[in-house]
Amino acid sequence: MSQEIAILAEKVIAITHESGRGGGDILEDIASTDGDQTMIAVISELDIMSVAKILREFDATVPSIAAWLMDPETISKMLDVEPSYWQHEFEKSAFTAQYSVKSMLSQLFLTQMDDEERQSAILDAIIHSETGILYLSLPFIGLDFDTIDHTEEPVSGSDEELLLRIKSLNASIYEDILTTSKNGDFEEIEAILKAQANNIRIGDISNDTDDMFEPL
Amino acid sequence: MNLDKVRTRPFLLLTINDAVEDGLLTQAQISTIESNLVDMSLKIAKSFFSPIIGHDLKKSCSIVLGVTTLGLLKLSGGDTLKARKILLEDSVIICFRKGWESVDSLFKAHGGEADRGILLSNYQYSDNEHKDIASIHELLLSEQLNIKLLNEMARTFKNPLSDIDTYEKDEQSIKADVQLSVFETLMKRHSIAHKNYDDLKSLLLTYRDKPDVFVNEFSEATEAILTKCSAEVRLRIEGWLPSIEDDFHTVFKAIAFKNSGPDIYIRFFETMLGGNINPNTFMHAYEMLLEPEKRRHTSLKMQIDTETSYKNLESDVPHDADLSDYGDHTAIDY
Repeated sequence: MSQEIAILAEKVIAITHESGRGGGDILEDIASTDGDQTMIAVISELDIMSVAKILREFDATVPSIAAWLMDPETISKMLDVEPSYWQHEFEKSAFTAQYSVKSMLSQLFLTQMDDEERQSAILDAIIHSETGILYLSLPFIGLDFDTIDHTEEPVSGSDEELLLRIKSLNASIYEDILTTSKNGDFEEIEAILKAQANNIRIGDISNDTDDMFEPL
Repeated sequence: MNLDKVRTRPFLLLTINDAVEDGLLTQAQISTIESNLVDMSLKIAKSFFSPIIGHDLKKSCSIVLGVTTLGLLKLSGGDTLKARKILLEDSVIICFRKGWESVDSLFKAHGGEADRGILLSNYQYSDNEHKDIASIHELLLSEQLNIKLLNEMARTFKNPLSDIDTYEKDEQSIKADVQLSVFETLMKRHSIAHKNYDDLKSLLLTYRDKPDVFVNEFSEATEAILTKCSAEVRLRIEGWLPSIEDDFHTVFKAIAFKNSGPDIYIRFFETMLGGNINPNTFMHAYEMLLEPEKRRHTSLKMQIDTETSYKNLESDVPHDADLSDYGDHTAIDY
């Protein structure tokens, strides 16, 4: 890694620490002055939590260029840790995990729609993560699947639009999503995703403290 | 141990400090203590808060310090030598688990619906302050147990005469319900039902004129009620009894016995319940009042009317009625 990239990455992390949107903006500045390749190099030097913090500030209406250029594996890893941000959002505002996941997925699958190959690869990468199918299904729990019109053009920005886009990319993942969201309990899935993200964030803890919550 | 330090640092840190100063802890042991405290803080953060927010991580560290200190105090009884022995021969995890036993009892007192993160936040303790963490815990627990006890009593002594389900009962109105229950026991003893206004009038007159009779019957009635209660409820009511008894004597003396039975009935129960009455249950007595007396119960009449019109409103309007016409009177021009 060149020194220039390291300095830029450090700068992006510092700005992201203050604001995820600020981090996204500076990445775009880097892309426009130093080129996409430099930006990709910088992203690969960022910690995954910072990447998640940046991308969750964007959605399909204002997508981040970073989301278009990241490789599918990084995106999948980023989605694994993204739920760590939920708890804090709950306390701050009227926030729902469903909304957060939906806007993240819309950014990934409802923008740059001419690049189907890349989007299929992203979907593949997500499904290979242990909780990938749970993450993909969360926005659709409670949706009435029987009323979905598969022949009409779905309303832009609707749950149906996102779901049908996934279906057109990979029909078997679509079927899995259907089964999971019909049978899954929202709170349970949310808890699993959060716990997994928090565990990744914390890393391994020595097993000395395994029984800390057992009253003496 | 220096007294000036005692005032401003948690017991756990003082114990560690002293052991270090006396050369009793090796560097390896200190590292183990540190890493245990850090690991436990991370686990608190990921289980109850968010492990990515600096503020939450700090809070989790303070909680671990508070709970571990609480546990060390409980295990050692505040004895510094015993505390040192625990630290040297056991671990800070044992101390935390002892403290967690207390936290767990608070969780249980609050039930499964309570936000455990908020409850846990009460145990925060930072390294440069002094607070009596054991008393803080005792207070939190006893407050919650008191609320639970009062709720149990409110349910046990629920009575239609005072039952308005829209508001939470305070201690004063629960006490009034107990008083009501005592009096209903006395009425039953004399086979007086709620609508026997004149019998009630003469019973009250007897109680006013023969306080000894009242005192005897009162203690028998309360004993009968108390035997049906749990030990905690019993203890609480026993504390209230002298003032309940006094209150009865005062009310008996204040009754205007020249008035009619229904009037006495209404005034007696209104006074006993401190005005917190359910107007529906007094409708019958109000209708039985003499005409001139009715004028003196305008406030009850108003309460009854409000209740009645509210009921009529509910029953007049079918659930699927189109109410859109009602909303057309807004004069605000946007």
